[in-house]
Amino acid sequence: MNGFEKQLADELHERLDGVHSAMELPPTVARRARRGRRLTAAAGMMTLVMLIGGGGWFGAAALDRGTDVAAPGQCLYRPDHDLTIYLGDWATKQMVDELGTLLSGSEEVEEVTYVSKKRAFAEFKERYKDQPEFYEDLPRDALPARFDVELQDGVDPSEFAAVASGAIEEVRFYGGPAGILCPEE
Amino acid sequence: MVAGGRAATAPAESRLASLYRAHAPDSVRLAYLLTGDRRAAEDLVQDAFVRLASRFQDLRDPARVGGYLYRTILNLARGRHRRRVVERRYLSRRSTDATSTPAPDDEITNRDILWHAISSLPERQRAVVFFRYYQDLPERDVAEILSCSVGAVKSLNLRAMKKLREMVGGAPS
Repeated sequence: MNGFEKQLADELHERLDGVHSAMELPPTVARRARRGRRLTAAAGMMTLVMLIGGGGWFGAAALDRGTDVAAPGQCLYRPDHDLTIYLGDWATKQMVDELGTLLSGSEEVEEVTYVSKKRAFAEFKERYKDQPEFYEDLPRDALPARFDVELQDGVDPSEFAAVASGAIEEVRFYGGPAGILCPEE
Repeated sequence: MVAGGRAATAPAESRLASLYRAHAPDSVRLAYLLTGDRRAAEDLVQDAFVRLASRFQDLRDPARVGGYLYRTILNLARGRHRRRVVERRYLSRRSTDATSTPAPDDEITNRDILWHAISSLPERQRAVVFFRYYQDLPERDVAEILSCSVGAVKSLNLRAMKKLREMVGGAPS
């Protein structure tokens, strides 16, 4: 560090060291955070109820995995494939390749598409281009890589025996029509 | 295997509280450097933590929380700056008084010149100065926080240093 840079560092410390925040999490932040989580939980519960009831609209992919803050009455997005297999961050390339091969080789599977973290983020960004607050602060690798799986006609997604793999973090099944689905008035 | 959005409220809140204790002080300092306003800095950091709370499921690596927070603060500060520019334009159109309040520039003393120069840097340059010379972070870490290349950080730093030297060098002794 040269003389000018040292002077700069000293000036910053002199000006900023005295700027303190509250020592503990302010109650207002905790309250707002709780409210945000309740909305998220409500969206998840709504998804679960619709899945159990066999309803025609699914919120699972409304905003990928838990970032949903969809309230009742909002339209939700349902992808055009039958199930999504999310991959854990721990999955090695070899594990992912093996899972892809197993899925492609299954007689019940029509088509398998691998979606990288990068592509998942790009899709998410495109889907919510009018609501940049959903993605502008997210790290580019925040959304997990996944396999989108289309099953053969007649195969029930909920009965599809997905191959066991240590790469899988979560599986979501879908049904009913694809696209943006809105509750009836 | 279908996962809902159920949240474990108590552990999440305790985790948020411990993250707050760890990251709030420097977050507020960065926000203050970007806004020049302590109250606004506190508000901005609180907003950043609320956003963080809703993203726990996306952020799997605790070591990256600081970077995520700083990036959020930069985005929020940028949004705030844009709103203030619009407000100022609106107010200046409405103002019929030709004489305005003295700008801070009119009141600078020699002691304040460097600080004023830092405060006048573009936001990203100011952020680089904060991370490099206040937090003493290596360029690689700064690049990750700002989501840019190490080369871009070097360039931002060079431009910041050039401008600071010009402003301080041109100051009355």
